[in-house]
Amino acid sequence: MRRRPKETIANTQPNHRPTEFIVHKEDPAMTIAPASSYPAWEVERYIGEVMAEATRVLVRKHAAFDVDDILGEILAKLATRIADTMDRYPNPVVYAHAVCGNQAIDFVRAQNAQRGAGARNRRKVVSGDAQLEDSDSTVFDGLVAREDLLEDRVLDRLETAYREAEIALGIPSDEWEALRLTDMLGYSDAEAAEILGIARETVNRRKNRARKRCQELLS
Amino acid sequence: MNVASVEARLRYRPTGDVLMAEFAVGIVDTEIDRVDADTTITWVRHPDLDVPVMASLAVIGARRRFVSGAPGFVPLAIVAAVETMFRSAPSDIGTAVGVEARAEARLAVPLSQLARSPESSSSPEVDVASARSLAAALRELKSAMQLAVESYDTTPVERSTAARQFLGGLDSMASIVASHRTSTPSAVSHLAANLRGGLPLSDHERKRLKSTLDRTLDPEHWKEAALELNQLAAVVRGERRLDHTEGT
Repeated sequence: MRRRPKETIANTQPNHRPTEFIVHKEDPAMTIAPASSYPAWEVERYIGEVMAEATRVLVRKHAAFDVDDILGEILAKLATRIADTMDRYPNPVVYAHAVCGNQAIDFVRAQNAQRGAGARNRRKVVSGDAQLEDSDSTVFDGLVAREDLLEDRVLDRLETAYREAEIALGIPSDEWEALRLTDMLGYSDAEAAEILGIARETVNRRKNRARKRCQELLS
Repeated sequence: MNVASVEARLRYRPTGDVLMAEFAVGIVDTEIDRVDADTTITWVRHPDLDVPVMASLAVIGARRRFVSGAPGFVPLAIVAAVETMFRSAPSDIGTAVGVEARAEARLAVPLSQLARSPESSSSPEVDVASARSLAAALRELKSAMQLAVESYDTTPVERSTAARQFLGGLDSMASIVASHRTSTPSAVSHLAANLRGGLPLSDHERKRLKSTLDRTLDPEHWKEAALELNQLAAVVRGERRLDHTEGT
């Protein structure tokens, strides 16, 4: 587990005095990487809105403190590649929707794995916090890095392919957006419709038109 | 801790201005209330009380909402601790400071204060068409203003920063409205805070926009708000003039 600097503060309120009060201050490992292409205020606003929207989405299905733990994971992911994320998802609300599902699934799976091992005491579970040999990284860091690399490669290749199709065929931006959200990012038609603020049928129509144009290019 | 009080765990993250509270009251017959897009309360049944009691609370834009006093749905017993957390947590979450900074507290809360009150009832979800038209109107206004802002590049840096914050805020609010179909006080207050110089609006138009944004806090007024936003977009594009008697 990363050690964070803590500061315990005595509360002077006469009533309902907290039995424990802790402030976790900055953790050097969690400092946002410099994003030279964006000013600090814009990065701050972006992160704030991602956190706010992620909370809105997650509290529908998860307990409050589980939500807070998932937010921590989202922040950790965002901190390492903020500029890339802001380039790819200019709207922080859309990014929050994209990242919430995966992060929540990972969190629940990790919890279930830990619970299973604890109950039966048979399955060998390697803790995500365990230190890798000859390295400062943890097992979790290593897995996240590999997953991110794979995701980046797949997305980059798809993005390039779709961009080429867009330029060659002149796919209108609304059709392109429908195709990107559904085929590339894996949203259902209904979810894409909610993000774009249009009807599900319209998303389906636009996506099919864009697919047809792609097929014409390939034939 | 006696039977009449329960343990509360509080967490506040300055990043996103998010406050979370959990109360140790068990998990029987869970029911979720969404007061608005920014406030979610979970209720459970408790053997000692006839009404449901609060099991958890999540508030976005918490610090801003506490400026004019704690909202009615927040149990009185946690108000002092929450305000101490606001003061203690680092407010500057910029690139130089770790974004995981947060404050935590534990305290005992009288069970009677967690009983469900009328202030915490869910606001009804707006129909899809109204939400869609408001989101579209917000995006329309954003496009019109962006075009106007980009056409003059002699704006001082700090003014253009406020303008960019405002335009980004319009986009975000459109997405929140489309996905959650209920009011979002944090997005409205963020826009109000950046509704100043650097925007292609006269004083009168700014006041109109402010009152229209305030009107979106009540989902029943979304249709008129969407209409007014479309009118303002037309004014910004120079297609029409704003009648000074409109919306006053």
